[in-house]
Amino acid sequence: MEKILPYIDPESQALLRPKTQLARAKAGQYIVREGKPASGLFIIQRGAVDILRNMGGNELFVTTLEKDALFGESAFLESLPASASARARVDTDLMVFTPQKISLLFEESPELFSQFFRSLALQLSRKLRVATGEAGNTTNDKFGDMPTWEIL
Amino acid sequence: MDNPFKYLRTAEWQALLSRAQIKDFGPDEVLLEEGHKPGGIIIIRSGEVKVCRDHSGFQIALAEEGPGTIFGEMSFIESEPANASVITLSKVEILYITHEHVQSIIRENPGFYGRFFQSLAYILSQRLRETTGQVTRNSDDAWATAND
Repeated sequence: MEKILPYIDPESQALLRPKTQLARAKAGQYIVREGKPASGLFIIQRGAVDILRNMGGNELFVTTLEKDALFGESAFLESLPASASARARVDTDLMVFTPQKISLLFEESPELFSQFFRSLALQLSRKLRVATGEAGNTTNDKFGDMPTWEIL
Repeated sequence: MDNPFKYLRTAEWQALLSRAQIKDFGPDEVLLEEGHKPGGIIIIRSGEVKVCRDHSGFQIALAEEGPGTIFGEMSFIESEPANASVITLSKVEILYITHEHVQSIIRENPGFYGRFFQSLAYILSQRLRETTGQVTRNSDDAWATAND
């Protein structure tokens, strides 16, 4: 948790841990399905997860996330259906934060509330930095090379 | 203008506004330059801008944005240079709030801290959703073109 939510201090971590759930996904099992409500915010504890997006009826492989990666932020923050699917590549252990469980904790601890969202903003900013680079690259691909993404 | 930070209370938005500078630009001026660290957060008050990225010496336009759009927040969060340039397409008026002013409000009002970052996380989440959608669409177009 420290790596992915770096601003959460030990005191806040102690409050947060009992409110998190641990889940296990078998290899090939969908954790989140694109277009469906996601059950929470996930941190990979062990294993790997493929992120997939629907493209013209095919599932487009976007990336593989490994230990300490975070996913499900958009659904968690915006209460919208998931924008991509997440499928366990191998047997995977996950830490799950559900809005219902941690929102009460945020009211009890303003410090945790601030540290949690500062950490989440940092992770989103890093992801967006990578995605913006990819957006530039794929726009350029339209005029040059074949797309390098794999069609599943 | 309307408060673009979803979770900030009216008084907190007013506190930000009270420290903001209003700046005017003509068309084709650079508001934010890729690779440079901005010293503040920019909110477009009026006019239109384009977001561009350098790719092997060519400017690739990623998006066009208008009033209410925020820039420079990623540099504030990460203390890193801007990952794209923002160039005006028309006359543009912006609100510019230095990082120091934001930090001083955070120090004065602990509640602002959480709600400000919650608002930024929400904005970044929306933008990430739009950008990853664009990546998929571009890849889809490129795939179709390659197979024509």
